[in-house]
Amino acid sequence: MNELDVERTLNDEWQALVEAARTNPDLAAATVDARGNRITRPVLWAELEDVRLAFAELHAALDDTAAATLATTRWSVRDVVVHLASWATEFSRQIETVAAGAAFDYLITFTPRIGPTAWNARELDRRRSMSLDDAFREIDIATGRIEELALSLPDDLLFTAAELPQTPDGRPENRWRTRLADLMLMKCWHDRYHLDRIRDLLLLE
Amino acid sequence: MTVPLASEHPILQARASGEVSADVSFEQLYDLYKRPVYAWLSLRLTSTDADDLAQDVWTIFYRRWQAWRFPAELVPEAKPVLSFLYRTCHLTLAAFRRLQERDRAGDLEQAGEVAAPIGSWQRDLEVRQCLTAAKEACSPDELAILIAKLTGVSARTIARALGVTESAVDHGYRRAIAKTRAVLSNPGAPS
Repeated sequence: MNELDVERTLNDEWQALVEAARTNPDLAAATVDARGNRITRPVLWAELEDVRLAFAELHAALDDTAAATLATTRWSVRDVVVHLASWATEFSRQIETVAAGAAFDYLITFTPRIGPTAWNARELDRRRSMSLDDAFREIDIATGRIEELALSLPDDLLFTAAELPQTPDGRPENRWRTRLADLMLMKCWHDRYHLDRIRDLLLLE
Repeated sequence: MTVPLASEHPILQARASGEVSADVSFEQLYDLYKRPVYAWLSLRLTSTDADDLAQDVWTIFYRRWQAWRFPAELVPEAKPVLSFLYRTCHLTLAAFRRLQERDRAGDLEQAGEVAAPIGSWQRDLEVRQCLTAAKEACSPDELAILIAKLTGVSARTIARALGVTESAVDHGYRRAIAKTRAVLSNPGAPS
């Protein structure tokens, strides 16, 4: 058998194997019924790793000129990356604080439909002199830490609602209550929101 | 050489134009790709684990499909959903492997793995000599490249999923074919 024969036979065998695959006829309907809310540890890790790899791709594609491009009315692409670094660290800190059973000694006012503008500005300012490489490194380290937590936290911590420092109106009694698993997915959603816009702006694939 | 799957293009077009809902088109895409997804996973896992991870893959896709970003022009040959599913299979498999390693490390007193019962699908694989030889001879990445190429996933998508260059994908594919041939020519020899 030469290599072409091997290739042909592999193709035929693979096609036959795919045809014979025993699939779950109810899975699509069950997934729709659950609205995609059947969250497991592999789902969390895969979603986090997906954004971690997307950041690595963006990092490789960004030069100084692209990083200086205005991405919002006030923020450059570099500012957005730094903003995501600040949130990566904050998400990681919040998850670790809940996991340790410790209390939050601060609040983040997250005005509905506007966001945590004061917190965002403060954190961006704290990182004013941070290099782009360091911002990407901060994202990578924090995301990797959250990936580890997605695999290691006990079920009762990962999948039970916890009280977080975010509050819609600055009042501690109105703090967000959400599952850490959902907080991890929220990080992914937030990262992708900005990553998609940066890619569109810079015409990256 | 690739497995001739029906095209995802008409489903994407119908969804992009609003002719069908996200849920209906999700079910159509599930019907189109449920077999390759299951085959990708079950080549590397027991059938029970493949079932569980298939659920994870489709859950991730369902969530993403709700806000899918369609390009201005849909290219008929493009397979963005197949690419997405391949990448997601790769990532969920990596997560599963990490969980397994953690479980093993945290359960030292366990006297080794309990062999999973061989299901009909696994028996089906055993009679397919070339694929069985490939499974035996190839590294995990070579096997991932091989089955992706056989399913029609682009080299670019494979490269991005595995974090390697397109040239490395091509080399990995050729290496997988050569190793498979070597095992078939000389069964039992070290690969």
